[in-house]
Amino acid sequence: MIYFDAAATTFQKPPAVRRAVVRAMETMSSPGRGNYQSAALAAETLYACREEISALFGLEDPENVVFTSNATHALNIAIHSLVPPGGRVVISGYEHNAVTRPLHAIPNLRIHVVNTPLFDQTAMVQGFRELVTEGTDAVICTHVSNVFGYILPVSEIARLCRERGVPLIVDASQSAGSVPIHMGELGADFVAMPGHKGLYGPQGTGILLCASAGKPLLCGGTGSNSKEQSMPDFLPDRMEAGTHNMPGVAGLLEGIRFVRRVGVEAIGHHGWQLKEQLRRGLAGDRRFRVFGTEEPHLQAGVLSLVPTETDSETFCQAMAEAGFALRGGFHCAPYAHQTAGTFAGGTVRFSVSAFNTGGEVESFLQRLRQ
Amino acid sequence: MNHHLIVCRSVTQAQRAGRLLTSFGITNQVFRSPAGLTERGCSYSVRVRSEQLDRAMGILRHHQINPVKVAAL
Repeated sequence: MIYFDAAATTFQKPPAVRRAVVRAMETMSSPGRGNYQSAALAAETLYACREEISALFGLEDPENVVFTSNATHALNIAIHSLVPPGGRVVISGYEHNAVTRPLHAIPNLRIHVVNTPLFDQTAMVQGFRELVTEGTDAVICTHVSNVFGYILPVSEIARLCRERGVPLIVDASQSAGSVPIHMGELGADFVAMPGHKGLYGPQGTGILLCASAGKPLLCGGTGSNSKEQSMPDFLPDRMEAGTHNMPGVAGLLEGIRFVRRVGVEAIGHHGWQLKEQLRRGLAGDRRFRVFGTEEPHLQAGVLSLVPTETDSETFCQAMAEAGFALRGGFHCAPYAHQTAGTFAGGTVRFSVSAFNTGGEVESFLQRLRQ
Repeated sequence: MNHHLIVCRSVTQAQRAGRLLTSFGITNQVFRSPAGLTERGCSYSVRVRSEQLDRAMGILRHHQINPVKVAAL
């Protein structure tokens, strides 16, 4: 099988990730719960991962790295921390259900959506400028659309938020590991991301980068302040109730080391090249409507297609039978389809990782030509 | 040889403090604090030699690491 669904999860991982997961299961118990060797090794690994994450994302203090079970969990913490019932939020028109469903669960919330065309960053910044006003509780913006690979202008949106004193949550689910992110320069309040996509960790890992402590989503044991019945008021303990996923974190540590060794920009450029190879290969093919741009600052390694002769799910089923893993449908992002005009049938999504090759893309193109 | 414990609010803060002190050449050990050392329950400490305590505390404060308390062993 040739795997083109890295935007859901990266299937191929560096070999060191698998080895670290197994080693953790054999040697590590609960971090921060004891002085004995297995607990100390777990704590050491957990902290090493916090340090590696801090170095990758320009975070000064490893205590501001919170481990979660996935990006959805991280986004729920961030939203729970900043958005009150009856509040007001401004979001981009490309948000995932991991953002929009938690928002819709908040009573009497006013949700303002910046609906601007694909790959038009200027229009998007202008849209946020018009809607982000004093009294806005939070702005939430994905960094890269999980459907279209569109790179949103988060630096400009962050600057606008800082000028107007409005907190910002960035969903870095599709950008972490392939588009540079510097928490210090961005000035966001929270940046959420999965560990199992562009950071090449195992499923069940996620990260929330915090500028300051928010509200806990879960309450429970932390190994600190144990006599008290309220959650600690300091990071990361305030947001990390319960035992950590140590096999996951140990694997994630090796995944992030891989990303830092290869380089975020190199991985991002590789993904863009493969996406461009497919986009150019489909140019003029009337069987597909292709949503792409050649501009590297506007699109990452994700390309959406709409087949004109069949629907997206039937197309993906046929491709699966031919040995190609692609995703059809709505990609849990109905807002993005409404914004881009693909709400009726969704899209076929092609997405790549550092492990995909030009030969694989050429095989896919040859299959399409048959 | 006399030692002091620099009591931290969490294992993460203790690890950060320990690594920082190591980078400044101060030998230390991170481990769980003796029970009852703080009123709030479980915590972690960084153990340093008593003659290095003042320098260690200066380094930590300079890096905005504020321990819960200091205790002699």
